[in-house]
Amino acid sequence: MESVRPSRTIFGILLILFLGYAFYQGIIDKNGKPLIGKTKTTDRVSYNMIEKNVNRSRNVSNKLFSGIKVPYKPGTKNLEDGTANIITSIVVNYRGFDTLGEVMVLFTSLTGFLMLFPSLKRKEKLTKPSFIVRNGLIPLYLITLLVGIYIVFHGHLTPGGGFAGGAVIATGLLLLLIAQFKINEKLLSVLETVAGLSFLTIGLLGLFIKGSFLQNFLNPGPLGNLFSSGIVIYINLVIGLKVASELGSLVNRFTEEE
Amino acid sequence: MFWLFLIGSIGLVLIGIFGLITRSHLIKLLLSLNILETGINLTMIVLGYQNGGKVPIIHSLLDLTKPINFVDPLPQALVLTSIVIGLGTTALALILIVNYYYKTGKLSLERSENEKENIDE
Repeated sequence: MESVRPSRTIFGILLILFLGYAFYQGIIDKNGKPLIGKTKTTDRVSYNMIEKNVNRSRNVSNKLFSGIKVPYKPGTKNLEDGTANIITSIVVNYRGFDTLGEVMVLFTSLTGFLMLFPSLKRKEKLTKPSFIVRNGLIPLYLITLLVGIYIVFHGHLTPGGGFAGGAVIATGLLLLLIAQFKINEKLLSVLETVAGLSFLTIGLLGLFIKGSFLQNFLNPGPLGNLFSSGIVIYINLVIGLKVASELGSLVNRFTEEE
Repeated sequence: MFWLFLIGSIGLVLIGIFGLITRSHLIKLLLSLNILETGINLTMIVLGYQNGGKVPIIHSLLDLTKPINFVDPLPQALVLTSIVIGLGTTALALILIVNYYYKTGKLSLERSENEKENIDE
C-alpha cells in the first residue's frame, strides 16, 4: 500500500498555489486584463500558412482586418499547397520534417516496447471464442478498416490524417485478435519498413526535383478534390500504413503464446 | 467559456504536477504525467483561440468572400505531434514499469523499512 506523507502534500499544495499564481501573472497585462484571446490570427505566423503564401513575402498591411480574407476558393489550381485542411497542410507539408521526426520517435519507442516485452508464461489456455464472436467480429473488422482507410485518404480535406486513421486500422486488428485470428508479424514488419522507406523516398524526391527535403514536387490540383494536394495524400497514406503496422504489432505481442 | 477552457486546462497541469510530487506508486505517477500532458496540450490549443473562431478547414459552405475568423491552426498541428509522442512514451513507460515489477516485486518507488516483507508476500 502507498502511504501519503503529509509534508509532501503540504509542499505540493504550496507549489501548486505558486505555479497557479505564476500562470495567472503570465496571462494578464499590467492593467490586469487578459492577454490571451486578443491576438488575431492575422498577426501570427500561421496567417501565411492559411493564405498559402509562405514562399513569398509577407504583406504587413492586413493588420486592419478583423478576420482573414482567404484569397482562393475551392477549385483553385496551382496554389502553393492545395490542402483544404490547413492543419494537415502544416503537419505534413510545411512541417513535414517534424512529422518525420515524430514517426521516428514513435518507431523508437515501440521498438523499445517490443524489446523490453517480458516473456509471459500463460498459466491457462485461452478459451475458444464462441461462434457469434468469431463470425460477428469479421464484418465489424471490415467496417473499422473501411473507416480507417477513409480517414487516411481524406486527411487533407476533413479532420483526420495518417495518425488517426492508422490508429483506427490498428483497432480493427485488435478486433481480429479478440476473435483469435492469427496476424502474420513478419508481414506487419515488412509493411512498416516499406512505409518508412517510402516516406524517406518521397522526401528525397522532393530534394532532387525541387531542391529541398520533403518539398511538394507534385502539382496541386483543384482545391477540395481527393487527389488535390500533391504529396500530402501520399505521405498521409505512408504514415497511416506505418502507424497501423506498428500499433498492430504492439497489440499482437499481447496474444503471443509461449 | 474561454476562461472556463483556460482554467480547466491549467488546472489539469496543476493536478498533474501535484500527483507527480505526492504519489510514489509508479502507475499513479504515469497517470499524473498523462494528465499533465493533456493539460499542456489543451493550454496550447487555448493559446490559438479566437472569439467566434472557425475551424481552419476550407470547404464550399464557408463564405469566402468575407474575411473569416479562423482559429490559429499552428498549435493544433503541434498538439497532434505531441499526442502521438505521448502515446509512444506511455507505451514505453508501461513496459518499463512491468519490467520493474518483475525485477523488484513492487510497484512503488518508496523505500520502506519493511521492504523485504513486502517482497516475500
